[in-house]
Amino acid sequence: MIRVRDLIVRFDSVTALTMPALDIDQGEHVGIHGPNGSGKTTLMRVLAGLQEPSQGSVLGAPPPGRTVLVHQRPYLLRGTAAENVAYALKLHGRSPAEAGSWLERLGVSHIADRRANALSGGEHRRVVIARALAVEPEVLLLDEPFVALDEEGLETVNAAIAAFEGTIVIAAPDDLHDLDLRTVELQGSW
Amino acid sequence: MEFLWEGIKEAIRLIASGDRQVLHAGFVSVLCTVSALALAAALAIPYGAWLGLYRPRWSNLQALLLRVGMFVPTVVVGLVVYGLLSNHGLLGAADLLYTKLAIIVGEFLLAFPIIGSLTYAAVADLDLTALETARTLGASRWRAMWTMLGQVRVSVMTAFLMAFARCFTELGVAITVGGNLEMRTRTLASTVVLDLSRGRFSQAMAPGLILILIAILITAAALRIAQEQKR
Repeated sequence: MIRVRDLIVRFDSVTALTMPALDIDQGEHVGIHGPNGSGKTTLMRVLAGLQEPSQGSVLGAPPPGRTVLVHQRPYLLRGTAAENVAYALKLHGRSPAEAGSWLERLGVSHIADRRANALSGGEHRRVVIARALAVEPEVLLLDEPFVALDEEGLETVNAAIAAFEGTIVIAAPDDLHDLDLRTVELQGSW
Repeated sequence: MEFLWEGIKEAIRLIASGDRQVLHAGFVSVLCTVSALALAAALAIPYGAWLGLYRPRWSNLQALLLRVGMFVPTVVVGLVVYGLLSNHGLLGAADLLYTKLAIIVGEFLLAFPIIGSLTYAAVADLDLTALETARTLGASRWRAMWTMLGQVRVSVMTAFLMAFARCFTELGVAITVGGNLEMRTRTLASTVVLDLSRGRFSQAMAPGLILILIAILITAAALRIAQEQKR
């Protein structure tokens, strides 16, 4: 269970995020709503352990590696799609040979040997999500994950994520349309 | 023009006949440069990467000092090393002056800022998301740093080549702390200067030709790396 209490993140004099309280249970799926600049990305980064809060606390969030963030503008490492997934697997002591099956779950096994810089926007997204899922995280944070995905891609990704029972999934915004989703509204903090 | 051509022909004859002095100078140049570069790369690559990725305290100042270090004349570096290794210097007791080790120390000081500064610039230029991706997937800070170095490996290799070119062709350190001792610390570059000062143009051309050949090889390697970068 993740507990957020009195969370404030400031960048110089600008308050990027205020969140008095948020509890997320194991296996729960949460959609984060809010206008531009309301702090959705900042909240994701704090939960991922990539951003220190200025004030308040986040309790129960597993460390990076067990909490995985898919960035708004995700980055694929140099190399092929399969090598990207293999990289994540190796970090967790698993066989890189599993990479193919993770790409298959996301419907992109046919591009396993294609270099990252030769992928289309939708393929890029699917490989990034395959790489994140391959880690089998306890908490999966998806920051605008479905940009560039077509309808079929959206269905495939949703199905792959839904198969992860027990994993906390937090998405901003909540395009996880086939999940039992709880919505959290963020207000602008300016 | 004929004078130059005769010099080149004589230089080729000297190289082809395996002139001992030229070969030994080549050996000293390669030994000192490779040793200095290996040491500099082992320290400067992680240092530059750490500086660029994790921005420790005073990182901007450290980056600035590295950049300044890239442009310090070799003879000034030689002077500093001389000050350290001479009898009255901090390391005078080690009796290293006029040895190959002294040249290696000096060339290390030439190579370190080049490799460090260019590595720093390459990783600092990376999208922050790249580092965060490695971290969020579970890479330790150290592992993430090596992953990022893999992302900029072409720039790091270019930095290595630039350092190699500077060390292999430098003269200031070789003469100041190497002493230009025949069959001991004489390098290709210092051989050129000595032979020329003695009016032996053809003999000076032989190591000169080897240096030109090395320059061509380095340029070819740099072009090959630039092509790799486009992939």
